[in-house]
Amino acid sequence: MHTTNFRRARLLVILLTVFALFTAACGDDDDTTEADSGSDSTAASAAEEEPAEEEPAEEEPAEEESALEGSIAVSGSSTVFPIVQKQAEEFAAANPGVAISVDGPGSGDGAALFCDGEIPIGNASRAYKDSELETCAANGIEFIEIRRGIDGISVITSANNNAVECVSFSQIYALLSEEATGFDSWADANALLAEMGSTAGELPDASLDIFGPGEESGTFDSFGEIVIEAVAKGKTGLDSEAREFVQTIRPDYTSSGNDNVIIEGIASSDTSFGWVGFAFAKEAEEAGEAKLLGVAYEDGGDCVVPTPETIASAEFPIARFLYTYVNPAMAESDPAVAAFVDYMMSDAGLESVTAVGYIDLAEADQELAQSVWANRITGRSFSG
Amino acid sequence: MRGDVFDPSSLQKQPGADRSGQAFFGLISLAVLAAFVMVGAVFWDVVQGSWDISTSRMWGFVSTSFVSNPDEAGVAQGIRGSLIIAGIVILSFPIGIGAAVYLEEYATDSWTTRLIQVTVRNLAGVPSIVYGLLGLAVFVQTLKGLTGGDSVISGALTLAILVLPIVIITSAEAIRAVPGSYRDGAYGLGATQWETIRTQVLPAAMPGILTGTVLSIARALGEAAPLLVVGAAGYYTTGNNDFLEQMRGAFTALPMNIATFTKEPAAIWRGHAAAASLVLLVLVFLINLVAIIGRARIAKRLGR
Repeated sequence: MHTTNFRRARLLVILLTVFALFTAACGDDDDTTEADSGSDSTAASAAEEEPAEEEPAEEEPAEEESALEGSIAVSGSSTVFPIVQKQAEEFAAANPGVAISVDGPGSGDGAALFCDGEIPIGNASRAYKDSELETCAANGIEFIEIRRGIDGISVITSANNNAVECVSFSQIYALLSEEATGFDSWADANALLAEMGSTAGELPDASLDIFGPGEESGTFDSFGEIVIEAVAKGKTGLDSEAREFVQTIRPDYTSSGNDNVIIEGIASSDTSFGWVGFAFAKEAEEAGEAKLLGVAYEDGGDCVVPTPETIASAEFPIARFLYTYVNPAMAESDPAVAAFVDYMMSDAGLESVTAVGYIDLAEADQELAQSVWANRITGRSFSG
Repeated sequence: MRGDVFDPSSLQKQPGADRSGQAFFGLISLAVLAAFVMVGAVFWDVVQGSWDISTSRMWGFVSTSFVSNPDEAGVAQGIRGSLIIAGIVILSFPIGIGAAVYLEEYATDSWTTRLIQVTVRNLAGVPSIVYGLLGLAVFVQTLKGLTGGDSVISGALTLAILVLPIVIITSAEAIRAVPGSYRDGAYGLGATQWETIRTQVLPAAMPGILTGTVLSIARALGEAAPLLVVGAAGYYTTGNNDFLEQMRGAFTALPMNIATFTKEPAAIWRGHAAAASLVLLVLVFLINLVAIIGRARIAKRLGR
């Protein structure tokens, strides 16, 4: 009898401990939300004061802001995700009554949700395609197109690769276009380069291990458009009349939707080759996992290494614009949505673009983007 | 214990008479060692990766939400989501155990019964992403009015369906393992079928049933693919939403936190992924512990 009671008591204690842990975990969450909103409100008032001091023109009364309620769903590009996450954090700090969710499944997925009227705000690391906007039109959904930043796409190899420092567009084409399907050595591309009439140098005889983003990625689309299509259309000085070029990327390489997996692949082989967004490439270079190659637009042209400066000035030739699409009907009916986009386009909100590793638009573009939003101009304002 | 059963190692052995037996013993010892090494390697990897976080701010890590500043980011929302999911997945246990009782105790051995059994077995082997698609079609889209769309309810119900076949199979195995003499004895004393099941079969099968339910909760806690399809959010705030609205609003879970951390550019986030994995391991371990204690208790009570 004694032992049974003792066992019961012990079991009770264990169960209670576990229960306490459970509730502690849940209770904690609530505590933090409160603590968050507590610290947030101080941060918020600080954030509110700052722009008010700097720019009295863009005022938003504090009481009105904190009374704002509603919920906002944002989805789309994983590249744009960190920018919007940071903006959402700051916005939520100033507006604790608003529930925001931000997701980054991919530009195309975001476009599908946006054009089905599921979300008021869609992000993309490329402009929405005509085919995607046809769905919007079919569903009677209008869109405001805002350009919000620049992202360079870096061409990378292993940090241990000393044989290559710079590649030209035609060399990239000879290594990565569909015509290069089956090439498993860098030198395999030399015959193709000669046939293309390229004067870029010979590539070394070394195993070619390619890692890059998959087809669902905006980085894949942009890279194909900017590099492979430019070469195919003769924009880089090759005679596109003389022979037929393809406009697509070869299918036989290791692809991943997770950029860090691409970086790991690049680091795993001394003679690897691939491409990834600049923010990831820069981190990988600092960690000693990858080397950022210089890129020359034309054969024999200047070899430019991507840096925030060369990307912003467009000297580095592989850069793309980041976009946000807003549903004007939803922005009108839900003041929380409009207030969030207002914050995104404010000077304080725009600081997030560089804070997470991307590059600001040129001033003229920035002003155009702000006026497109302020005047709710629908249709393709930038990508048309 | 050793005294009452035959112990093969007590036999006198002719040297070299049992070579193949000894080779087999060596192989299975290696298999056990390999299993231990693998589990140890996973654990070591997670502990080592999360060392910076777990030694400096583990408490902060489990009590704050995912924010963009890596020094403040945590997994509180993920823990909360995973606990809610575990709570809702438990709803599938009565259904699963009920189905197992029907299949083992009531159903006659007809071709429909066999068809159902084969189907349940096959369902247990269906990849989890397929359940994610089912959840997307049924809970997120068709039942949007009830679940709120991409919500923790949709995610948890999807996982509840995912573990249902596992619960049915393990419960059925446990019920089948109850000796027929238990039933015969109960019937002999005049018990009805329901009384026999309630007082003899289910209590005797309970340890096995518990094992199955624990495995299925661990499985549900670790799944990321169905939640990705159902639409777990990378980042969210709850605003002024009350509990019910939060249940129907944006959500995340620990595996989603881990996936989000591994996609961040800065290397520091890999430590977060490891620390979140550690939290998940500890959570699963705690739940297992509760069930193991419960199982031992029931087994002891039955043994008396």
